Amino acid sequence: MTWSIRLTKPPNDIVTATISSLTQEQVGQIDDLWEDILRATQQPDADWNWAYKLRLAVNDERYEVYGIELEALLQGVILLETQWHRSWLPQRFPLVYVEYLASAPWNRRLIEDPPYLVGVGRTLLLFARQRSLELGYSGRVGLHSLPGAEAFYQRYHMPDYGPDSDKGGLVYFEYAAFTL
Amino acid sequence: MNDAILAEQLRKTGNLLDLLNDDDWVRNADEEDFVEAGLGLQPYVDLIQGASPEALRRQRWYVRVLSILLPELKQWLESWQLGRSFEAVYMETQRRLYKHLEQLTSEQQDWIKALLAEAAQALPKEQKVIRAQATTWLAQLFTEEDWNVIAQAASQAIAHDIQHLGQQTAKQTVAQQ
Repeated sequence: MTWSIRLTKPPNDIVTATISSLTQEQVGQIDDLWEDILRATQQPDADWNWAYKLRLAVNDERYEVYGIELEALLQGVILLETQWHRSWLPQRFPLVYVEYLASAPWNRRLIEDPPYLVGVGRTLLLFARQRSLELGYSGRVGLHSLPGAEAFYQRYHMPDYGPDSDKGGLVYFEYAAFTL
Repeated sequence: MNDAILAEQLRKTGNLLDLLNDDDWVRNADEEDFVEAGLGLQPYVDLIQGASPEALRRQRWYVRVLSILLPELKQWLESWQLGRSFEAVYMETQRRLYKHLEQLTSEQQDWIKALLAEAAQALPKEQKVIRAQATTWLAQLFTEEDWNVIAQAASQAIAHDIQHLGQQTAKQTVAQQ
């Protein structure tokens, strides 16, 4: 399924992009365009390759993987685990857990001024909450933020549960259920 | 993004993504720096933070060029009606294109410069005469060796799918007996 979404393209345009299940071709763009061009050498990264995990997740029913695409370029990606994770609240509600949320290098102000697109991270977060609603989890979403991204989640009022020693001390954030 | 606004949207339409039809909501997004979540993404963030200015400049150039050429390439390949082999062919042609962009001839560089200059003018699509040449340019860029590798990728994808689908169906039949 493909959803049309709208994002700001500086300086003043609003453009229509799509969000849909990630394809192997888009994972190839992560390898080649998001990462390899930035490497100083042609040696592959010795660290765990997150694109490899995305490739596996595409065929695993526990996971959902989505990508935002504009002009045939992958702009952002989100990997959701939808069956096993539970809320940190005492009631241990089921929720959508964000395994990965990432934006393309060129969509951040520190790299590109102005960024190629504005709002990719926010749209992926909004999409996670929508999937939580559709799965019957009432909008509950949890994730572990990387250190440089904590301000982003705080800006969008995602409650902060503090560092998690099981995840290398990354701070855990969790949206609660919507009150309607 | 506060829950009061999102809850109001849910009451109105039942779908949070409808907020993206609201121009004010879309324009209110802040410019983002790092948004990454998930321990496995630390190497990716480290790579971006440690990238040289030259590498970032090169990536910026690739993004500008590919945002024009990839839609044209995709449309061209879609017109071939490749069916199940489309994705494999599209992936391989992208890889080949990246390689060629690293070593353009001076004539090819001139054409790319003209393409980018035209894109900067924000003309209506029908007035983009350089972009209209993109398919021909791509066809001339790819070599016979490229096409051989691309054709092999297509045949391997088809062979894999035929074997996978055949075996999958055989398992279903056995289970029903």
